[in-house]
Amino acid sequence: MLPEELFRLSQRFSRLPGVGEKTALRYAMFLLLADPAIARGLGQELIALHDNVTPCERCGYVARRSTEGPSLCAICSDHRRDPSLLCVVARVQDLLAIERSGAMRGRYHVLGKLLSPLEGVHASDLPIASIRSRIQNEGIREVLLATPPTVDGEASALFIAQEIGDLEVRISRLASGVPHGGDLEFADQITLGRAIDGRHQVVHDFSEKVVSK
Amino acid sequence: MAARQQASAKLEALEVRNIRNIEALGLDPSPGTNVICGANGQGKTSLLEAIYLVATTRSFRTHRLRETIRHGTDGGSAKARFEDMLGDREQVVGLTPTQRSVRVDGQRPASLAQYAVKTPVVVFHPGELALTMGPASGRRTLLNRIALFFDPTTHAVQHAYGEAMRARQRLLQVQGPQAQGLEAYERLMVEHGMRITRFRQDVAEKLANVARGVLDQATFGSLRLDARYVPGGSLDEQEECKRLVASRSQDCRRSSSTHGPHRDEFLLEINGASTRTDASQGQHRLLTLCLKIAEMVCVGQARGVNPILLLDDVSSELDAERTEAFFDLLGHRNEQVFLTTTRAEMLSVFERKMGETNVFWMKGGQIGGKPW
Ligand SMILES: [Zn+2]
Repeated sequence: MLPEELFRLSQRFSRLPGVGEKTALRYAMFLLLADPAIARGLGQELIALHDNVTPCERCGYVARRSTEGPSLCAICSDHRRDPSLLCVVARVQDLLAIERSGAMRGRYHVLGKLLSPLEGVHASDLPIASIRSRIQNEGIREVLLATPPTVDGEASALFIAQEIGDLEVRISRLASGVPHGGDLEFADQITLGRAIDGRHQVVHDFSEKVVSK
Repeated sequence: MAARQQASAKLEALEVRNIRNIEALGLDPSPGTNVICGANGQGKTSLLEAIYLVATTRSFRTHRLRETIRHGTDGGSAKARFEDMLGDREQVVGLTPTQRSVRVDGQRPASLAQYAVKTPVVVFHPGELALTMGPASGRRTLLNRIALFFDPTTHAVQHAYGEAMRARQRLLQVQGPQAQGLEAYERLMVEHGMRITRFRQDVAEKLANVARGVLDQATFGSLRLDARYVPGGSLDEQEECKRLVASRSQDCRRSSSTHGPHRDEFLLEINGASTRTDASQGQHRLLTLCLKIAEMVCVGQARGVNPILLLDDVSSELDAERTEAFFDLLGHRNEQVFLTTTRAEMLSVFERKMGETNVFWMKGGQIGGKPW
């Protein structure tokens, strides 16, 4: 019924997170009926996006694509950052939330996913090797596992702690304060800042308990 | 039972829309005893269900809330004005086939569990005999329901335990007993499982004490109740971790793990004999009643306010004498009561036992005048 271009565009919008078919069609119709400059501008931004921006090759955050040398993000290239502290987060949004709290002076590693056997995400899907190599090569002395306080977030943190437990590094976890089952993205800055300041050490040996900092 | 002299929660007004066979109904109950009288299938139980729904966000007749929405409509709701010593508030539960929305004075509460403990309600209904005769799951539910009033976070703990167990089962099924990541989920099962064990043990003890006293009083000391919490896992954290590791191969072929609080039992014995195998029908009825009264007392203690009582058809199988005995045991003080009956001839018994009663006649999902 719809012209093919409109249909395809609408289909593409409906693949965005949180966008259903009705909303997708609304977006497509808007772009059709509004000032054509809006659609053209959007198209140019989309093409430029992947040409110019890429995940940071070291930590998974966003970086400008570099033509010479590795593409590193602003945090990885910032020499004022404490190189001995590494904060492991699930998603870029969590990194941004922690940055807003202002309590993190180290660098990050973005997992991109959490363990979730029920959704087919297994241990082999986590970037354990790159975290290990960063610990060994960047002089990291503390790894803060800032995954969300959900079952999959906790399980991922425990698993990573187990997998890096043989290295000479202190492993810590956010202090409670972020409600269980909660989302770091929506935790307020003060709570998150306190959770980072009050982080406690995790002992990777499962027979021992979590030890306070 | 001195604790029950404290203030009681009261339902001051209720509006029901499209719940079961009730299309639209308004109720202005009395703060004392309210009797809902009518023939079968006229919506009496649905009215109690609506009160239960607006207080707890759940139904006592089904786990599938969409079943409570009236046929041919796309959603139902119950709105109530409740009052206790903290003042009065409006609570609303709205249902669509896929969603449940709740509001307290127009605000969304922090969690469903927070909402569900605002106004304590205890329901007695004929299906409740399963509490003493049926599987352990019913008794675990009873312990959980009471625990919620002592600590609403127990709900999240149980949810987390279930999630960790399902993740472990999936890992075992897909990748076998050597799967990477198993320890992580097992450790979470143990961590959350220990908290479940602790709160259930605590509640079981409180519940058992009260129920024992009630049974003793009801039978003049001739029946002695022993109620014991038997955990489905170890009480020792490290021991439980080891047991989970040891049962991996076995658990690969199961839908849940061999150990853990999802296998807890709350064992009931009368005069040293297990009630599930040895009790008479009459003893089951009596014991169920004792447990429900104990629930009422424990919830009242936890919340500091007596629950509203919903008595669904309690007199259906009882003659007048036994109905009187039931109310004597209930030891009614100042709780607000809603009770349903098909038998108008019992009204005088209710009145004698419960003080002045306010009678609502119900027909075709509506409150009307006396039909006969
Ligand atoms: Zn980076």
